[in-house]
Order: sequence, then C-alpha cells, then structure tokens
Amino acid sequence: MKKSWKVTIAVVLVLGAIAYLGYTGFESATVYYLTVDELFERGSAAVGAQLRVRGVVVGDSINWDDQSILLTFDLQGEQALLPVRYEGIIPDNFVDGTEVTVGGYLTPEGVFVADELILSCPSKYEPEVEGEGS
Amino acid sequence: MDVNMAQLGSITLFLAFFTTLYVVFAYVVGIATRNVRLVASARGGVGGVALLVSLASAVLVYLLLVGDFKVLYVAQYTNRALPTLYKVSAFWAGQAGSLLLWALVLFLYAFVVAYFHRGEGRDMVPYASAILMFIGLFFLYLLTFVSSPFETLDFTPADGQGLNPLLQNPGMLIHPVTTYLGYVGFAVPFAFAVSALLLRKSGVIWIKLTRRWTLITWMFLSIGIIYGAQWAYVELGWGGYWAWDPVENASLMPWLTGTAFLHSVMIQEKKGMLKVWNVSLVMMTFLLTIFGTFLTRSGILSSVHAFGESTLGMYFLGFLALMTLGSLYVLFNRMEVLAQENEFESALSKESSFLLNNLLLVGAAFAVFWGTVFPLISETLRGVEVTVSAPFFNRVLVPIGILLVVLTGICPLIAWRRSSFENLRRNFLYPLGVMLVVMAGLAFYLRDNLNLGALLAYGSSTFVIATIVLDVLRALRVRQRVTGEGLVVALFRMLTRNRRRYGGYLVHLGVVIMIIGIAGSSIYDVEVTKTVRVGEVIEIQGYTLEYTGIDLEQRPPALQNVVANVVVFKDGQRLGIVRPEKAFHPNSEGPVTEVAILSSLAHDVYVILAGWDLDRGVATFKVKVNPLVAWLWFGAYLLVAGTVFAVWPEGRRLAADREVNLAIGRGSG
Repeated sequence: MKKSWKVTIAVVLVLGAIAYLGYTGFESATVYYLTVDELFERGSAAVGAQLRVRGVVVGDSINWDDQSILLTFDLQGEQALLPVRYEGIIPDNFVDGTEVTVGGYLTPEGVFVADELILSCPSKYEPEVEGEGS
Repeated sequence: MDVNMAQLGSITLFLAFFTTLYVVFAYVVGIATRNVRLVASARGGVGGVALLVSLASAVLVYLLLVGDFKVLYVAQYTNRALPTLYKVSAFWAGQAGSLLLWALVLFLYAFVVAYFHRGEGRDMVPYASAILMFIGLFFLYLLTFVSSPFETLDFTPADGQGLNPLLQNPGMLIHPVTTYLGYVGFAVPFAFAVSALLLRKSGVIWIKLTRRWTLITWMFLSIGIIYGAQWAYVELGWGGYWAWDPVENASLMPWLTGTAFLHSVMIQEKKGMLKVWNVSLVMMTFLLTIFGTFLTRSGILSSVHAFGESTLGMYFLGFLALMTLGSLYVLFNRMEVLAQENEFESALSKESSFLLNNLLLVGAAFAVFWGTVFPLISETLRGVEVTVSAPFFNRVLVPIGILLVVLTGICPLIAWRRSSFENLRRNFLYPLGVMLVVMAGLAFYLRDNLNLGALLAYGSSTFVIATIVLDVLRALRVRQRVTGEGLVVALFRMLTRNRRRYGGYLVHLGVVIMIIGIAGSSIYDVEVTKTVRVGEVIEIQGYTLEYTGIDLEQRPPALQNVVANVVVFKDGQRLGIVRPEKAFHPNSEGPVTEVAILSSLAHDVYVILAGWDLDRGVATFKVKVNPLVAWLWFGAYLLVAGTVFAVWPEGRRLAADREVNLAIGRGSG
C-alpha cells in the first residue's frame, strides 16, 4: 500500500507541474480575436493590448516601400476601416478582397501596428462543394 | 463513356456501403449465434468491400488522369496543364477524395487483418474485423450520401480550376498518404484491444499481435508529420516548419499518445502492469485520429489549411461521440479483466521511468488538445473569439520535451523493479560526465548568446547519445569475448539478433538528432529583409549574398517565373547560387513564392524573393539563416530506419546469443 502511495504522489506532482506550466503560460498566449468592427466598438479601450484582428484587404490601399520594408494597407470590416502598418514583405495571394488576420496592437492614433500577418484562405481554391455548378 | 465511369464510381461506392452493412450484421449475428458459416461469409464480404473500394479509387484516378471535367471533383482540383503526377495527387486534394483515401486504407487494412492473421489469437479476428468494418461503414456512408467524389455537373467546363500551386510540391505526394496510413492504422490495435476485452482475454496477446502494426503505423504517422513540416518549410515561405496550427496539432496528438502506447505496452508484456492504461491509451489514440480527421475535414477551426466550412462536421462529431461512449462502455464493463499483476516497487526502476515517460507524453498531448480546442470552447460558451498562440505550446512542451529526452537515455538501461546504485553508476556515470563537459563547452562557445533551453536540450541529447554508445560498445566487447567473433561480424550479429532493442536505439538516436535540429533552428535563427541593386550584397551571420540579376523564364504550368540569381559566399568562398522566384500561375491572383534554400549541416540559407523592380534594377530579399535544420530531416530518416530495423523479422537466436545476453546481465528480451 505504501508503495502505491509513493507512485500516486509522483503522478500528482508531474501532472501538477504540467498543469502549472500550462496555466501560467495560458493567459499571456491567449489573445482576443476580433473583427474590424468589434475592434472599433471597443474604441480606446482596445488601445495597446495584444490582439488579433481579421478583415478584408482593400486593394487600392496596399502600399509597400521596399526601402523601409514597410507594408501599409486598410482592412475593411462591415462598417469600419482599419489602417494597418506591417514591417515585412507582402505574402502570396495578398490582393483586393483577401481575408487576412493581423496580430499586433492599436495605437492611440487608430493605426494597427502588426507583427504578424496571416492569410486565412486562398479563396480561389476553396472547394465550394455545396451549390457550385448550379 | 466518361459519364458512365463517374456512375460506375458512384455505384461501386453504393455497393460497398451495403456490402459493409451486411458484413457488420453478419459478423455480429454470426459471433452471437456461433454460426461459423455466417462469419465466413462476412469475411468474404471484407474482401469484396476492399475490392469495391479499390475499384472506386481506380475510377477516381482514371477520371483525374483523363481530365473529365464534368465530374465536379475533377473540375475543382485539376486542369489540363497540370502535370500527370499532380493529377493523381489531386485524389486527396479535396474533402471527398480524402474521405475515399481514408476508406481505401481502412478496408485494405481490414482485408489484411481478416485474411492474414493466423495462429494464436485467431479467435479475435472476427471481432476485430467487425469493429474495423463498422468504422468503415461510417466513411462509406459519408462517401455515398454526403460527400461523393463522383458528383457530376450538368455541363462540361472547358477546363478545370487547377490544383492550388501550394499543393504542387513533392510533399503533396507523400505527406497526405503517409499521414492517412498512420491515422487509419491505429484503428487496428484499437480493434484488437476492444476484441480482447470483449473476449475477456487478460493477457498480452492483443499487444503481441498488433506490435508490428502499431510500430509501422506510428512510423507512417511520423513520416506524415515530418513531411508536412518539410512541405510547409519549402513551400509556404515563412521560414519555419511548425506553427502550432490546429491541423498540425491534430496529427501531433495521436502521435504523442501513440508513442506513449508503444512504450507502456512493454511494461505490460514484461510485468503484467498498466493494463487499463494501455487499453485507454490505444482508445485515446484511435479517437484522436478521428478527432484529427474531424478538425481537418470540418473546417471548424480557422487554419492555414483552410478547408472551408462543410456539413461533414456534425457527422464526425456524432461518430466521435458514439465511438467514445462505446469505448468507455467496453472498458468499464470489462474492468475486472484488467487486474494488475504486479505493483510498482521503487521510484528508481524501469517501471517508474516508463510511467513518467507516459505521463509526460500524455500530458503533452493534453496540453496540445487544450490549446487547440480552447478557442472553440471560448466561442461556444462565452461567445468570445480568442486564439492560443505559440508561446503557450512552447512553454508547456519545451520542458516536457527536455525531460523526455533525458528519459530516453534512462529508460532503456535502468533496472527492473528496483535499481541499485551500482546499476545507475555503471550505466549513467560516464554519460553524465560527457554531458557536463559538452554543456560546459557549449556554454563557453555560446557565451554571447546563451539560452537555457538550448543548453539543456543539447546537454540531454548528448547524455542520450553517450548512453547508447556506451551500452553498444560494452555489449559488443562482451560478445567478442564470449564468441571470439571479429568486430564486424560481432556487431552485425549483435544488432540483428536483438532487433527490437537496437532498432529502438536507432529510433532514439533519430529523435535526439531531430531535437538538436529543432532546438538550433528555433532558438538561433536570424533573418534580414533588404532591397539591393544588382551587384550589391546582403550580409548575414557570416554569409554574403550577392544579387546578380533577374531572369524571366517560363516553366509550365506557370505562365511566367521571375527568377532572381543570388550567389552565396562564406568567408570569401563561393558556396553556390540560389534562385528564389515568384511564379505566376493561371487561375491565381498574384504570384506564388518559390523559396530557394542552400542547405548544409550547419545552416540553411533560406532566401525569398520578396519584390523586384526591373526599371530601377532592384530586388528585395528576405534571407533567413536557420541553424541545424538538416539535422531534423536526417534524424527523421534515422527514425524510419530504426523502426524498419525493429520490425524486420528476427533471425534465429543461437546458443551463443543467449550466452552473450547472460554475460551482459540481460534477459533474452
């Protein structure tokens, strides 16, 4: 009986350690995922916090400066429009109408400074199974 | 004619569905009423279904090859210009085809199980077959009634939409197939475990019967994951190979629990312990493969693998719930069969080290699970959308990974039951010494850029390598002394007469080498993005990259390839030329990046052409120097080689082998 207690304690300790690691790492790694409109609803409360925001790229607004490696563009929501600054290169399929997710923070001036830029889907190749061909 | 082929495909799947329905019914009734003829007829049905599904798959391949665009699936994923090989690979580019691949692999496995399992444990085969066929029934239902690859359009388009250029990579030929071979393969040990419970077999027979299945399945899943990573690395152009994307996590979770299973069954084989745990692990692994298919196929999570929303999700969820409840019912109903035969005696024993290994692997799987599904839970319960990013996964999994590496060194060599100080000293003193020396050396070498994670990862890896080398050398010396064989003969005989042990060592070496690559490339990677004129250079990490101009080429199926020439130097020596490009494809807005990589054992120089302006004569490059990436791929090859070595049929053991084993103080195992 004594021996199985030792093992039980060891098991609890190991699981506890894993849970502790997960718990302490979880808060900081979990960020809100908003649409452009939801971001604007939050207004100044959203300034400064790490966020992910998704919206649709406005083609005419895309501007890339190859000297400073700075990409600026507007993300369109249902109503609101969010200007984005991203230091980096233009990803593939980054064109008018592409849905993208940006990760970063909102400045008091209302510009979103992104350090990550993720394309949701290359829409051309989506298998729109239902309803296609009809 | 061609329309008839699509109909033939549909009819074949339809027949397969109803035959499977019969087979499941015949097995259940045949087993319940002990009707041998009914069971035999069910077995015939398994062969029939395997044939029908193979035929349906052949029809799909035919339709893809001839480019029959009246078939929706063909029109969606291929076009005339697509190279033949990728036309075939379009088989699994979409949802319906992927389901068909799942079904094909499953029924071929079921066929092998039904027809080729002889000898001991034969009475489990009808049970296991029934379970496999029931799983197959679900997939055939989807293929027949929900998502058929043979759906036709009411007109014939002039050309198809083509295959996503990202999928036009050799990885596309290997990654999905091996991943599915791995995913589906776990259904077999699952089926045998449940069969053993149903038959109230308390022994290890189901483990012995499925050992090779499990190992080979595990190997395929490993290959699938690694090729997925390599594909992302060379094709997606962000310079990494792993992003904790839900679809990646979906394949990692069953791999982690499957790895735990491979290890814990040894404890049951030798000591009759952990029986409930082993059955639970194999159930968990199988359910995670279904869950993984659900994640990737339902489009429920936003992901780079963007599969699109579909109606499939609810079916999968229902099936998953059914299988989970069924597994739990069988497990609790037969709990008394699984009584433990031995107790843990000491914390310093092989049993305990395996238990710890298992806890860590399953803990890791749970952390990955939590990080993957939390966004779903949050959205469903709180209506708040969140994402869980890489730092969470790294924080939990890096410490677990390092501990696991340490255990990789300890587990094979620590004694059963209770380890003596002498056993520990004999096996681990020198490796510990080597580890400390290497860590001190590394700490000095990396003194400007010291990282605790890197130091521990390299230290623990060194420890493992040293334990393996020490053990092999010692056993070899003993063998030579006992048998008087020459070095080469002794080594060859020693390795091939205990394939399980030395195959395991080879896998461990592979994993450790992969860890070295992962630690190096994730901690010490550097990047720079710069716009240069022709003749100008980019300096990074001692490498000098000179831009020498743009070539405009045309390589079908691309309409145009913009290719930059970059000469790479190191310390004034010319290493070679890399040619990153942007390819313009038909049906694709904007160009597709084709990365160029100059790979060596020390570094990958990873070059992306980010932009160009022919008028101004400038081009922009993003250059990454990723250390030790080649080690990751090399380690993976070792892992595969080790698994193959371990499952290869063992030659006859001679009296001399037994004597050698006795002399090294080891059982015959």
